[in-house]
Amino acid sequence: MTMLPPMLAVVRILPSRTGRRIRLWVPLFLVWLLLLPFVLVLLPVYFVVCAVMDIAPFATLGAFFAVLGSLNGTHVEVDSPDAAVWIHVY
Amino acid sequence: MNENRRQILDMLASGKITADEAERLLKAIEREPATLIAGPAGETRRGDKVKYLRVVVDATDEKDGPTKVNVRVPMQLLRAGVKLTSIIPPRAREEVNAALRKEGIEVDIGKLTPDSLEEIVEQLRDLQVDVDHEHAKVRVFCE
Repeated sequence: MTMLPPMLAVVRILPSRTGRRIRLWVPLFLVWLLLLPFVLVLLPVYFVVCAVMDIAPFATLGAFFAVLGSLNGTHVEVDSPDAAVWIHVY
Repeated sequence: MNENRRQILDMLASGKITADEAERLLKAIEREPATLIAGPAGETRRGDKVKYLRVVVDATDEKDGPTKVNVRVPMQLLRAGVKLTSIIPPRAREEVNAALRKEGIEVDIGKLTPDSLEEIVEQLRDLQVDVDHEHAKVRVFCE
């Protein structure tokens, strides 16, 4: 399984009241790109906090990336009388 | 193999087969040898690696009606989660270990490695939790 963060999430919502199906293709790769500048700005703060809390910074970063990368293939379906929601992460 | 068992249970639940037939089919599946793949140095392991953890909920509320929930989470997430133990500072890790020892659990969370987790995940292969309540059915299994 790839260890890249998920690139795309497909969300389908079907409210039972309106009956109008909503389909969203969420380009997660754009979300990561938008977050990248903020992450870079906060990196020095992160390293300082790790030094103070005695936490391994690179191992923790690797762990977070591993968790993000393992989200690929996550699938959630909820079918209730009010609405049907379908989410798949690619 | 879990997929076959699930299909048999689904057929039984939908009334396509009887309980006796389901029992015979389940016994037949258990008799089948597992798929083996020869690894290095002649070591053998099962070919079907556990990939996902599934949670299926089928609930019926008298007021709201039926609700179905189907969640599939990659097991890789569990493996990656072990690496998050690096967040725990060594001092806190010692306190956690002491608390676990106090409860009679002799585990050192600092020594929890991905290899040891693989053994746990392997044992989860046959995990199947079925909760059958009057208004809800919950199934948790790995596939």
